[in-house]
Amino acid sequence: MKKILTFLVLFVVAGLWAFSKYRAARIEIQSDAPKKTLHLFAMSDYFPAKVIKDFEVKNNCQVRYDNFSNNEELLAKLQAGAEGYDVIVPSDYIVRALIASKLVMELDKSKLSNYKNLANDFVEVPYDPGSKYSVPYTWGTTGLIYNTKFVKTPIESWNALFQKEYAGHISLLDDEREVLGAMLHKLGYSNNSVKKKELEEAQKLLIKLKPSIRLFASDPKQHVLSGDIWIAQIYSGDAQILMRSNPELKYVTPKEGGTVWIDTMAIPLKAHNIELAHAFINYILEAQVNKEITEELGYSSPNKAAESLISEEVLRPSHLKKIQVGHLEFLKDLGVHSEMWDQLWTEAKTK
Amino acid sequence: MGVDRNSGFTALAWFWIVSLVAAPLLYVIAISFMTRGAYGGVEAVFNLENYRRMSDPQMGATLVSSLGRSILLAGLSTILCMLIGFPLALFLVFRAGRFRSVLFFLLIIPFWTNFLIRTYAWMIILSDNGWLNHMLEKIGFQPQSLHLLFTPQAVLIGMVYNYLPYMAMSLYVSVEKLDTKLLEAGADLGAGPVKRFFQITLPLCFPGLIAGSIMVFIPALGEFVIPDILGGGTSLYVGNLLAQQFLTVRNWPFGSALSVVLILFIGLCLWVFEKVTKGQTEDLLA
Amino acid sequence: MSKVISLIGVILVYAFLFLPMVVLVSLSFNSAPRGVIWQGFTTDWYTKLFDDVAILEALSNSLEIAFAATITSAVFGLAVGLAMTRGPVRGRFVLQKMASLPIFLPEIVQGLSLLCFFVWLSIPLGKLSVIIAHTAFGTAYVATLVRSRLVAMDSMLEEAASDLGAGRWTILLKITLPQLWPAMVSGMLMVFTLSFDDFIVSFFTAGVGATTLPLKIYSMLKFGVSPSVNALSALILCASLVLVTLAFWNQNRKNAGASS
Repeated sequence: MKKILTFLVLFVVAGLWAFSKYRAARIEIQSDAPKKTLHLFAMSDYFPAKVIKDFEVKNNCQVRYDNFSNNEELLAKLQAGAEGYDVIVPSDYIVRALIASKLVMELDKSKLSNYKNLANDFVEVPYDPGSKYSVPYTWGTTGLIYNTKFVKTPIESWNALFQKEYAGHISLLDDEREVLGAMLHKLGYSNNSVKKKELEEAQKLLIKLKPSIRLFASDPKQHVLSGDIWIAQIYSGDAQILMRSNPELKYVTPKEGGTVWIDTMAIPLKAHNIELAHAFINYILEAQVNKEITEELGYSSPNKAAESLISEEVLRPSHLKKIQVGHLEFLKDLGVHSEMWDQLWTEAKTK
Repeated sequence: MGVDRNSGFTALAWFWIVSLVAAPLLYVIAISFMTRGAYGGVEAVFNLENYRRMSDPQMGATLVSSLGRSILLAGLSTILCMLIGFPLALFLVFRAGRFRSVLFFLLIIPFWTNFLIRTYAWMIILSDNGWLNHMLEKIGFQPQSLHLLFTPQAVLIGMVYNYLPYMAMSLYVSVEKLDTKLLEAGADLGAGPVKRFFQITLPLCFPGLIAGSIMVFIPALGEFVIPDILGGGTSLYVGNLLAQQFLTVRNWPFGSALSVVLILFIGLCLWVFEKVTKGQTEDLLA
Repeated sequence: MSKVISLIGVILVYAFLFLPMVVLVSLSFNSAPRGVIWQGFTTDWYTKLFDDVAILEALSNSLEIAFAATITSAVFGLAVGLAMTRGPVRGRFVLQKMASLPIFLPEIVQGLSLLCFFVWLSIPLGKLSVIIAHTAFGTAYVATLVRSRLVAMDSMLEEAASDLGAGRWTILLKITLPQLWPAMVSGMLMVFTLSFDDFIVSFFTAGVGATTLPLKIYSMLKFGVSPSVNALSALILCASLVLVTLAFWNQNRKNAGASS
């Protein structure tokens, strides 16, 4: 009897396995030739399905899209020796660390014919002098999204987080740079501060705020939509998507300061399909593709060739000039000071 | 004799032990004495810095509070599992009659489903606009929603839900082995049900209770997923602290030192459990 | 009176145990894109699931890894179990203590130590690293089960065979193994389940192209859940239900047979 049971179980398992392999293969391109696979490593839902599909068809390949939850995890996995990722999507300040740790390779610009599509503001960037290792993918800001159904007065400042009536309905990003950075801004300091005194002040502020924080989430979309969270620290692209589905939501970058950032594409040193990786980056730089990405994700584009195709003004590359005045800062690599930041963040989270 | 001298198996066994059990642990212990590289690697500079850092007032406080929080959570979960599991086991053995195997079967089904899915289900239930609040509204109960999701209470519910089957099954095995004649004798001698429970059932089921407690308490100490999903990441438990050191902060040496401390602490707990079990068994035999 | 109270208590406990599952299954048929308010019946989420490449791949990855880990754990577990009970006496104590470590150590410690270990040895992270990691703890479970069976087993049969001139391998294959088989099967089923379900150890040791189902679900949980997750959950629930029913039915048949 046990034998029959074992066989049954094996049969079911084998069936499941065969089924999933078959279905997966059917959905992908049918071809007899051995296909190359591009391994993409980025945050979840950061590339529209259609864009990936079109690339697969155009280049007769498969794209495997693995996820990481934050930049530090990307760095950790690469440092741990994860190899085989062909294209990674790190944020600006992490590119510095990647270059210093020799984890990314110099891009072969001769393979990137569409590089000229980039707007001037994005060609020379501080975190990657000469833009040797990275190509801008999207850019955006970090600010607050709030639900006017529950938040009656418009929000302009980080002070809103400290108001009693919103306690328990606030979420912050699960990111030490963004959260401590916000506190530093509220205190009037730079979000790249490495002064111990300023950082400790920011930490104290965070600890004071903590009881009101319901949740640390880097993607609070579902919680904002469900009504659990009334005010959330959020990335501009996510905010755009939320506002499209619920017009009662508003996005603001607080007047004391916020973050402006650029997410980039890079190729790890240990990539397997370097040709294909370059082809992918070049493909993303195409005007039409960039337009699709921008409009679906809600993040702003760095691509000047796509500018005329993009309908929403807030998503156009030239929007950077409009908002960069004064209060928004880029995040910079902290180098050896990151340990101090880590310590303060860990302590604050444990209290 | 035949198989006994088969050094092939012994060699294979030792290979597994050394390469997959001993070596990783020894390596972690070794790293705990090393230093973090500039961008997060590991440099072979040996010192006691990581351990010394734990006695730093700030780091020490962080460590103690997260460990304390984990102990509290694990302890509460264990106690709640006991309080629910014991009556359940008793019911199954003494009152269930012909439904006993069906009920037992129903008990282990949740245990067989994927643990992330079970935890996710609780997110749906406990959300401010989730199932529980929805139902309460329908009954007309709560004017204001119950804020349950992303609180320590939600974490506790998730923990008890996940660990209850271990405790219940362990207790069931113990209770099943009870010699009912002893209970009958107790009744004949005039002991009421409460007295019979505390003086006969409980002592005899003690090994099962301890085994179940070990199966709940020890893993619960290192738990970080349930607090992360249901707790909203606002509180760091030891598990979160460890994961954070390795993945976000990328300070592997310090993280390893923390792991060593956790392992030692667990060793201590196991030793205590063992002592308690021995003591009880000796009392029984005396 | 106390009977009524205890009955109510037990009903409440079982309601608690099954609530999540009932909610998940019912929501998987709800046409509302989010929330718990019923908006109509649909099987759309299920069809969407069958078209989701990422999930299908995660499923096949999980199955492949679980299968491989089960085989390797069975081989090593058998070896360890034998060595623990029949091997050279001097090594037994150490073996026993160390073999139970993976069962007692928190998964996070195991995951982390294996990650460090792989990095040190420059073993690339991928599917293989996950299989190795699962073998690390799977072996311990098989070994424990094999050991309890061996201890209860009478070595008389083996001695008799030896006296009759049977070689080492013959004894192993024809006498020891058949007797150990129930323990091995239980062990393998257990390892398969543990591996398929595993999240924490896989989280730390998975690399390129090794996204397992739990890992995929986790990233879906963190980044915005579509009701397809409910459909997926309901399906996994069903599968578990079927498997457990089979196991139970089998067990009961044996018991009924034994007692008749």
